[in-house]
Amino acid sequence: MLLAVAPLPGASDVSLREFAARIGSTSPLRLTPDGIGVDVDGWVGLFLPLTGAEALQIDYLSAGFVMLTWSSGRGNSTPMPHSQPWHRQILAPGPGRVTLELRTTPLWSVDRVPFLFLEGTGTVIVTGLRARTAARDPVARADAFDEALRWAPIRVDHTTINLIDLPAWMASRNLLLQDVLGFAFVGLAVGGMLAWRATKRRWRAGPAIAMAAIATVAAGNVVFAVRAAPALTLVPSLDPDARLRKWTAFDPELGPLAALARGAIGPKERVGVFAKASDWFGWETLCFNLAPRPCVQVVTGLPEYSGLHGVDRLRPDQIDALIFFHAEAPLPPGFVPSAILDKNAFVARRR
Amino acid sequence: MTFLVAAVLMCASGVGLLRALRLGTGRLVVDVPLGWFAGMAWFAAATFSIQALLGAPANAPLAIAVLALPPAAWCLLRWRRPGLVPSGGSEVPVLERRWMPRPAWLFAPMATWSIVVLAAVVLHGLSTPTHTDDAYRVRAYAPILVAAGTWNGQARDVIAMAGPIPAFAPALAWVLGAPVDPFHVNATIVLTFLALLALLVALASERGSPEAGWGAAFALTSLPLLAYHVTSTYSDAWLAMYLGAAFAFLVAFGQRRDIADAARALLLLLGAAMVKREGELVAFPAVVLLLAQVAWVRRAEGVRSLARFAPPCAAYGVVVAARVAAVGLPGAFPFLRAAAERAVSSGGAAANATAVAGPVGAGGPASEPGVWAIFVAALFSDGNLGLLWWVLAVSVALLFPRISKDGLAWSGAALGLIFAETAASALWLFPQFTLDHGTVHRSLLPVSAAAAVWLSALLVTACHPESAKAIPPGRRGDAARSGSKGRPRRRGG
Repeated sequence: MLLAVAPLPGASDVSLREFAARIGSTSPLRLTPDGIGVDVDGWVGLFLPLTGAEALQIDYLSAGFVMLTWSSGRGNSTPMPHSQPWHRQILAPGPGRVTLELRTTPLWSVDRVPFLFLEGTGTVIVTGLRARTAARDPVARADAFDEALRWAPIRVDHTTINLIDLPAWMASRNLLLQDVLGFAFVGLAVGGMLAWRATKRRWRAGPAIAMAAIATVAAGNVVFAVRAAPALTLVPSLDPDARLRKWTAFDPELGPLAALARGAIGPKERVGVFAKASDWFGWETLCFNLAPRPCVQVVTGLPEYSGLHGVDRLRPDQIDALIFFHAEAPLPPGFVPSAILDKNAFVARRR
Repeated sequence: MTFLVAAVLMCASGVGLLRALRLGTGRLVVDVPLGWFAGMAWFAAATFSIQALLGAPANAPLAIAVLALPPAAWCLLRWRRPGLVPSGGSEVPVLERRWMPRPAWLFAPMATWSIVVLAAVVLHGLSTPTHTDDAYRVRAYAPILVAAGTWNGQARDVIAMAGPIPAFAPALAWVLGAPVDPFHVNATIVLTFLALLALLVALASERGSPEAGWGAAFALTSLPLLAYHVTSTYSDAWLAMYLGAAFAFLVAFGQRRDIADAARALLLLLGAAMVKREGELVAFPAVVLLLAQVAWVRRAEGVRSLARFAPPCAAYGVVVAARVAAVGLPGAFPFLRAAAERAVSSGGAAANATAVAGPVGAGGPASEPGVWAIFVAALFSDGNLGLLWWVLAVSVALLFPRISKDGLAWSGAALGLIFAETAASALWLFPQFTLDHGTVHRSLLPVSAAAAVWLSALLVTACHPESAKAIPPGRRGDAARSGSKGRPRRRGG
């Protein structure tokens, strides 16, 4: 946390006034006395014309629920923002500072430009920007790249449950940490056996293998601990709603909306979730956190809606409360907002 | 608070079950964590069977009755047969109880790492909402359905898919009246991890080999993907933990030949069988080898040696019957069905599967790695399982003669069979999930947990041969004899 707000070493300031016109954006930007402003209503993509930047530091002023994802892009093609490892951070309301490491993002190279992706509902004003460019010397650049990847924080995302991203030892040469440690283990074990044979005049593999294993496993553990530490949340909360309110890991609005809905919807009420058709995560998360209330995904035009695993099934007229979450269509007739997080995330009830 | 009460009740019920079956070790420090595993298995098996076969949903009176039954049975047994040998009165001698591993300078950092990981798992696991990663989890949703008494066709599918333990054990507090908080699922898994580490360390220490316990704890906490999984609600962690605990007793039975250890291992393997749909398949070869080992070790007794194991196996048959009643015969054995379909498929189907999997042992089109390459990388290079498989492979190669000598052959064979099953699933049955890295890493978690426990026993006995076999009182073992070879014989007092 302290590192994130400390000045970025080796970075140079970027003049926002000169820079603003050259930013490629999917939404209109505006130059304000404080800096470059952008309204986020769903998502906004920004290409920063800083070819070769390896790290950025952004001072901002944020209002609402906005999450920043960063990676790099080339040309006019928009990168997949949530590719693994997914680099993201919630922009807490008010002033703040984020430091963005670009070298650990997918496909980064010196000829790409930073790509910022803002999601949620709110406004962000960039009040300051500093950039650090990658070294010109290819050897120094490769060394720095390897160092960054070796200690890159683990980024928990939807697929971490299947695999944790590969720990690299020398990413520039595709050398993985486990391979290095594995061969080191074999060398130490065999060397230890030979040393035992030389000094004690008999073969004994057990202690050599055990010592080699402990040493190399411990080395791997240290790297894992350093990489995993930033992803840990170590302040348990016994209140499920408080836990949800502070959970904004994958989406800035979803956790607070789930907490709001749990409080606003009675235990026996039947719920429909009205979200984007392509959003599988939103409606499932909301229905899960509202269970055991009957809860279904509202799909316009269907005579009957289905919930998690098809366990709950409701007709449109059976729904008591509706959760609206960034849906493309307007609220169905007969429903009015009753508990509001923001204009894209609220609970509605029948009139 | 209700969760803690439920956890205590579950644990007490498990300890009661162990005592009633005369499987307690007589040491609470071992019996309490073992009781947690046994209690969950008992509660899940009983309530699932009652719901599926008798149609009685899990409610508070039923839950309390199920939990109270084992302690009541134990009390009844003690009352009816006061001369009964107290449970834990093993006739097999053990090494002197010892809690401090030696050398301390080596084990202190290992123990510190294990405790740090455990603390991180507890804190992070109790801080992260249940839905992270994939919105909802079948295994986290199933207990809610159990608590709500939802039993329609889709709900039965979800519960059967989760397996009785992940579906029923976390639901206990809700069944007893607590409001539904999905967090109980996280907390149950975190508690099970705590119980596993406590069991491994306590069991080994009580038997005079704390090095094996701390070694196993260190090996388990050095599996990054397992550490992550126990902070989540995926059931691979349940399966891994039941299997790891079972292997502690499989190893112990191989080394000490105490029939009670075999029975404890069976109990835990049956628990593993009640996790997910594949738990049964994972546990099956270990159960078969365990029974074969018992029959071999006790061959002088003939068939009677297996009589003790018939009731738990029959009880598990009831759980299988309940599953069939819940989801029908085809739905009850989906993996067997998939294997049968895969085996009989020929021509176009097999060709399609090969096309998906790419040529065996080689990169597929466009130089993408093939299914074998991905599987091998998952074992050795990807880091999700740390260095476990490197160490295991080298240890087996260099310490092979010790495996049989130290009583680890049967458990090693069980491990090999489970690994072969896992490999067959990744390479042959579902190659598409290996190619997309979907399940290959986490499908290796159960066998890796078992391997960690087994490997620790192998390395400790290779370093301290005297810890492998219990030495009957009054007799000097081979280790002691070889240790004093060439030294002057001591005479007199």
